[in-house]
Parts: sequence; structure tokens; C-alpha cells
Amino acid sequence: MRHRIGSTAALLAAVSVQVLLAVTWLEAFLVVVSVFMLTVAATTIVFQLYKWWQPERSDPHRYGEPDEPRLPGVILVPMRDEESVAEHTLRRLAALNHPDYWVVPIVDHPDDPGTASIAHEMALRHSRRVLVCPYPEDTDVHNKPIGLNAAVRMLEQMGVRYEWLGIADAEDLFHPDLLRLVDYRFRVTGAAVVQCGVQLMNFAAHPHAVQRPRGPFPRLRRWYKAQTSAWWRVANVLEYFKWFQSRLKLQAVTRVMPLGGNTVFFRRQFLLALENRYGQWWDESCLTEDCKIGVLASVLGATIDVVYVDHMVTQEETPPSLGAFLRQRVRWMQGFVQVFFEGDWLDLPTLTQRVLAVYVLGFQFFQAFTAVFAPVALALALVHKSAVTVALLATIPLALGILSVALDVVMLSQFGRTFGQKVRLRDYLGLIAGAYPYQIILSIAAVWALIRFAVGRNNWVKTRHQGAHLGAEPEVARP
Amino acid sequence: MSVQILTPEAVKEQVSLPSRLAATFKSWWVTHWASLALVVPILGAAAAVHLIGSANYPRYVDDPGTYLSQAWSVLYEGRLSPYSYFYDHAPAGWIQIAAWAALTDGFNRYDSAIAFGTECMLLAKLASTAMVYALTRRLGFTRATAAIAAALFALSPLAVVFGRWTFLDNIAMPWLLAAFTLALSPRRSIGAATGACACFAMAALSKETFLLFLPAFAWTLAQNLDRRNRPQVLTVAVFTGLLLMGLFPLMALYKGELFPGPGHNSLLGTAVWQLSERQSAGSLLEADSPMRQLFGQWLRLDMVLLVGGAVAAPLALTRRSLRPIVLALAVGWLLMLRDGYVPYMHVVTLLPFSAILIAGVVSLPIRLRQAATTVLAAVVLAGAAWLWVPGLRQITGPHETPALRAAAVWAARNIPRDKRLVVHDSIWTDLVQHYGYRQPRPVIAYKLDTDPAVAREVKRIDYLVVPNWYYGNPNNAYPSLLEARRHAVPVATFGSGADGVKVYRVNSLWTRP
Repeated sequence: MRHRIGSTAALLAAVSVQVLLAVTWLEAFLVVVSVFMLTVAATTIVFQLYKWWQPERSDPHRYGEPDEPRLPGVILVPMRDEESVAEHTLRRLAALNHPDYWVVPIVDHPDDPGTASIAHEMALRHSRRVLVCPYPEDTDVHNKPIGLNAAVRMLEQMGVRYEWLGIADAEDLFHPDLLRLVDYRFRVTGAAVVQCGVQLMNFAAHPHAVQRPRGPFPRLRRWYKAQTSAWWRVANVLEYFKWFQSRLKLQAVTRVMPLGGNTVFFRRQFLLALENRYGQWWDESCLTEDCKIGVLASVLGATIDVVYVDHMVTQEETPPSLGAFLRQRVRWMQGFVQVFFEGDWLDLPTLTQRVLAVYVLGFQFFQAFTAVFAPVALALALVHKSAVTVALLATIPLALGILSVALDVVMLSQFGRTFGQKVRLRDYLGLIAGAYPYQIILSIAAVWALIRFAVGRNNWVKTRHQGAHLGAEPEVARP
Repeated sequence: MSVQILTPEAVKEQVSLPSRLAATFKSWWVTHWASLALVVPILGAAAAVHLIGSANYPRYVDDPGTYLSQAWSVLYEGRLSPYSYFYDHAPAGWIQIAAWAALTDGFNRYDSAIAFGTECMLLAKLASTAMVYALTRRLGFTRATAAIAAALFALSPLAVVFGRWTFLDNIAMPWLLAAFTLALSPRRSIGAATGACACFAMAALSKETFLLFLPAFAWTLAQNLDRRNRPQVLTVAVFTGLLLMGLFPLMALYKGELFPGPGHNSLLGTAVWQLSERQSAGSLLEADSPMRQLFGQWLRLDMVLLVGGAVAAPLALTRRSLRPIVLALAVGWLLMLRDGYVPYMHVVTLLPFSAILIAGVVSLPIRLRQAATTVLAAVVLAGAAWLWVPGLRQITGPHETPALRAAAVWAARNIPRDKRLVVHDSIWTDLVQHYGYRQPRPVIAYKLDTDPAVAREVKRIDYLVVPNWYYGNPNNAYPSLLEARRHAVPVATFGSGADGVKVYRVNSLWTRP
């Protein structure tokens, strides 16, 4: 608690110093802030373009052709209140194109008997494929890492033979050939972790992109909902598009890796190394256990392979409402702050990595503020008739923001072509018009997350699944 | 492959910035040491012919002094010009001079600003020469061919003479060549294309007429795109170029000087004047046109590069990679053929492309055979040397002190500091910086009639220190100067003819109307 008060005080002090600076030396303040924003904006753009930086990095044949799979494996599927999708998901997962793997749904029997019974039924039907893992009864807390750790313990006790262990969320429909590719990539790259692509899909302003609501006038209300939510959904979809196929590759190459929460696969040898060093696998008190395990993997020196094959990505949907999206973002950001203050990243071997870790864990806050403050800085410079050089300098971060939007437009058209989806003019217009409000939403999430962290509210009540594309709100991985 | 969990040492080797930089440098050295061995001697020769005898030759002309005074103003006054800046040129050229002066205390290292300008031009010349080599390599030619191109550009007397003068074109040229070179980067990365567009923007910001090379540059860039990352490359690169170039009109906008209006200069107003109302130099095809005379001056310095380039251009069309370069050169030639304004230093933009095309065409018949190319290189260089040695001797030989320089020194010894001098731009900076004419400041002669602020404020004139060619201007470009001379007596004479300088003392009872 004390360090929190300390950090809050430090934050307040920093803010007041800034305000003081701004009031007394507006020009100096604008120069400093502009240079900072310029750095943040430029690195954001450069990092997100990693995949396209050189043509070889987006060569369609860069992953090679998978041969016959050889490594036995396990897929863990944490499930809670997933009655609507559990059967469909498990049936699909049980029928993947790989000779030797187990599907392990993790279900809470007393708390969620419906899902549990579906899981057991599937285990009976596919007795050589599906194995049910009970969620521990000795805890009131219900979260993903506790379930995952319990499953790994169970596998060890039962002596299940496996070489890799993957994670799927309850509504994740893996591509039938995904495991073959993962198996192959593990063997050719020697990777300790393979992170595969996750992709949000429902960007469109067209009504088919959202669920039809219950109640009167469902079509009209669906149409209205689709029109009014497209602006943030499209930005959210593109975030995934850039994050999983490009940015994560940069993180893998620099060996500072915030992993995603599903469609991620770990080698058993890596899990053992993790246990030897930290005594556990997933951090049960962390809001973003996936990011945490990625940072620990980086500290251990584990090689991570990032695979984004267009037709094999795990397709998901955006949160059902702007509120849900905001809450999800607050949770992630708070989780990142948590990981930052736990300080495991300080053990990264090189300074470059530590700097990048600060960037990954902390800069999303600065990014949000930069995007929101850039126009303000220029307005300040112009209104107060600063020197022309200062005004020009203050213009550049804003211009980079425009470049960012232009790139998003390019990406959206690529997204449409990649996934065979029609992108309409209003989708582009929504993307452009929504770019700035979206940054404001992210800024609100950032402030909220910081406040929650400062007052020590680390619990999180996960929103109940509403039932989106197959009747469930996706518990999505994070871009 | 076994599971890779690396030790911290292994990780350090892979990702730490210093070790990666060291690896990059090592691989660069392995690939490029042979090129360095070729280029460094050429650069050495270029530096030698540039510097030796540069104090007194070539003669002082209009413009270099103006740019240097503006660089001085950037550095010491934080303004783009000691007078009201009227958007005659984009300012990046003299801002770069000012930056070099700031880094090296340039204006205090030489007795005359012109000499410091020559030093700046040396840097530009070396950069351009190295870029000619790199560009020729990237166009797909051997080291020997690239070395010929670089040597032709470095040592042509025409290139040496015009390379010594502080012209914005000389500053813009390395940026333009770098833009072409980066556009042809074999990595075809976003970084290279963005760098290319940024360099092109810098070229255009240094000398706005370089925008004429945009089609050739765009063609080169387009030739080297890869469809796998084309949309991203184009978006980032083009945006960066536009943003950088856009800073110039944006600056005008923020100052309220983008659009014409009463009582202030404006970018668009000046642009309209430059494009439509400037005196035509006639066409190269008309005998006795000023353009033809200018061309004659160029040819007297060196025919090899100019004529050779023009002859090589059509032959070079057979090679795909050379076509944009041919276009670049053709644009330069077409400007001379049309009946319009052509600046005195226009030839600067023709030279590097001519050098590249000559070297490229000479080596076209030889299918990359090293020995044959080397022999050919030797022949071409020997031929050029035979033709150029007399010219280079003359350029690097002893010359009399320029009359303007002598006049400035005389003025510093004989004219009190409280007198108002009207001077040629090439000595203005020295009078202000070294000789203490601050209150009142000297006035650059042509500003008397062009700058409204000067017309308003400068009523009394005490001395005139301008070359004789100012008084013989056929277009009556300096009416106030002529008027002042009517009320003046000569007090000192330096040199003779058009370049000579007569110092006049103006009657103290006379004031400007």
C-alpha cells in the first residue's frame, strides 16, 4: 500500500510540475512536450509497421510447409458459464488435424454445473481426446490463471504425456490445421512459445456485424447499434490486425514479449523452467496473466515464434458495447501497470530490452495522452502566438496522427481483401471520424486504470457473457 | 531443433543495441571496403581541386553573398534574412549553412564569408560525389563504372567552378542524389523509401526548382517497389515527404504570409511573380539569346560533361534502370530550350546526371568483365585528364584578389563605422561580422529598390561599394543606386572592367526622395 501512496504522490507531483512549467514557460513546455509526443507517435508508427518494413517479412511462404506432426500436446480450455458455446467449441477442438493431443476443458462443478455437464458429456463421447479438469474448490476467486495452473498440475499427476500446451478460450474455433503448423514451427524454430494470430472480425457498419437484440423493433435497433458502434469496432479490429501480425513480431525479435491470452502454445520444457525459477506457471493474482507469463518468458530467454497465417487466425468479435470495451481496456491497462510495478522486467538481460519493456508496459498510457494532446499543443502554440519554429514543431505530432489514420485506412482495405469482407465507404468514414474519439476512450481507460491501481482495487468482476457470434462474449487477447 | 531457452549472454549478443550495431558495421565494412578504397582517393582529388586557389577564384557573383548573409542572420539574429524575407527561395539551404557555422563557428574562422561558403560547398561537393558513386552502383553498374562517374563529376572544370560558388543548387544536389540512391535501396524497406522522400523534400526545401525532378524521382521509386509492402511503403514515404515539404507553406501560413495581401510579403505572391513575370533568357535554339551566351560560358569551361551527357542520354534509354536518370537530365535540357527564365547556375543540376549517363553508356557494351572495364576506366579518365588538365591548372592557379574583396578591406580601413554603405552582397557579411558596420548596417544594393522596409528607412547614403557591372545593367534594375551615384565622387578604384569596383562617396547633402 505504501508504494502506491508514494507513486500517487509522485504522479501528482509530476502533473503539478508540468502545469507549473506550462504556465511559466509556455514555449519551453511546448517544445519539450512536442518532442516527447513526436517520439511516441513516430515509434508507435514504426513499431506497428514491423511486418511491412521489409518485403520479406510479409512473404506468403515465410512459415514453410508443415510436415507430419510429431509432438504430443494438450489444449486447455478454461470455461465458465459457457453453456451456449461449450459443446460447439469442444466438438471442433476435438476434431483438429493432429494425431496426438488432448483437449482439457477446465470447469467449475458447483458454480457452473451446466457447462460442466456438457464437458463431461463430450469427454464420454471423445474419450481419447477430451479430459475434464475441475476448477479448484478451495478458492472463492474465479479467474483464468488459477484454472490453468490447476490443469497443469492435474496433467502432471495423471502422467499425461505432452510436449506442448496450448490455450483456447471457450468460443475459440481453432483452424483444423493449426496444430500441425504449431507442431512444425516448434520443431523448425526451436521456439519455447508459439503465439498464433487472433483476429477480431466485426468491423462493419453493416447490421450483420452485430447481434440482433431481443425486444421490439430488433432490426431497427440492430441497424442503429451497428451504425453507432462501427467507429470504435473498426479501430479495435485494426488494432488486432496490426498487433498480431506485425507488432508482436517486433516484440519477439527484441525478446520483450507480452503474450496474448489464447491461441498461444508453450513447450513443456519451458513450463518446467518457469516452475523451477518462479515456482508457478501463471500468476494467479495478475489481471493480465498472459502478459506476465510473456515477460517471464522473455526474462528466461525463451525464444518465441509469432505466427500469423491469414486463413488460420482465431476469429473473435469485439466486446458487445462501448462500455464493455472500455472496461476490458481498463483491466488490461491496470494489468500492465501491475506487471510494471512487480518489476520482473528489470531482470531482462540488456538495457535495450528493459527500455522496450517500459515502452510496452507504460507507453500505451503516453500513446493515449499523445493522441489526445497533440491538437491541443498546436492550438496552444497558435493561440499564444509562439515562435513559428515552435508552432511547426507542435504540428508534427499531429501530422503523424494523420499519417496513423491514413495507414489505418490502408490496413482496413487490406483487411477486407485478406478476409474477403466488403469494406464500404461508410466504414472508412467511420474509421477516420472515429480515430480521435477512440483515442479519447483509450485515454479515459488509461486514467481509470491508473486511479484503480493507485487506490488498490485489483479485483475484477468479469462481465457475464452475453452471447455474441456463437452466444458468448469473447474473452479476447489483447492487442 | 531443441527448445531454445537462451542464457542472458546469448540474449545480449542477439538483441543488445551495441552488439547489433557492431555486427551491422562489420558486415557493411566487408561489403563496402573495396568501394571505399575507390571513392576515398576520388574524394581526396575533389577536395584538392575544390580548395586549391579557391580564395580568389572564381570571381564574385551575385547570390552567394546573399545566401551567406541570410545564413548569418539565421545564426546570429534568429531570422531567415537580415531584410524582410520575401519567399524568393525556400530557406533550408542557408539554414544548413547556418547549422554548419553554428557547429564550427564558421563565420569567425575565415576573413571572408565567401571563403566559408566555399568550405560549405566543399562538403556538398564531397557528398554529391560520394552519392554519384553510390547511385551509379545502385543503378546496377560495376565499381569501376561508378568510380568513372564520380571522377567525371568531381573533376570536370565546369563542375569545379560552379561547385565553388555558394549556390543553393549545390546544397540541394546531394539531397537529390541521396533521394535517388535511397529510392533504389535493395532492401526495399519502408525506412529506405521514407528516407528517399525525406531527402527529396530536403532538396526541394533547399532549392524549390528541384521539384522539377519529381517525375524522375517518382519513376525511380516506382521501379523499386515490392508488391508485398507497397501500400505501406507509399503511404509512409509519400506522407513524410509531403509533411516535410509542407512545413514551408505551413510556416508562411502561421506567419500570415501565405496569401498575398497589402503590407506584407507572401509565398504565393512571390511564386506567381517568379513563375510569370521573370525576365526570359530566351531559348538555347536562338542565336544571341542570353541563354546561348550563358551556355557558351559553360562550354568554355568544359564540353565533355555537358555534350557527353546529352549524347549519352538517348543511348542510355536501352537500360531500364537509367531511364529515370535520362528523364532527369532531359528536364534540365528542356528548360534551356524553352523560352523562359533560366538561372545562371542552372548547369549545376545537369552535371551529376551527365556524369552517370556517360559512365553508364561507356560500360554498357561490356558485360561486366572486370579487366575490360578497368581498362576502359583508365582510358576515359586519361582522356578526361588530358582535356581537363589545362582548365584545372587555371582554376587552381594563382589569381588576383577579387576587386570586391580588396574594396571591402579598403573600406574597413578608411570609412568610419557610422557611415551608411551600399554594398554588393558578397561583402555584406564581412562588413557586419568582421569590420563592425552595425549601426547603421550596410545595405545590399538591390534591396534599395526591392525591399519596402529599406526604401522606408534608408534615406541617407554615404558610400557605394558595388562592382561596375551594376551601373551598366541594361534593364535599369538599380535606379536608386544610379541616382545616388549622380551625387557622388569616386574615392578609390579596384580592378577594371565590369568586375572592377569604384568606391563612391555620396554628397552628404543628398538624401533619397
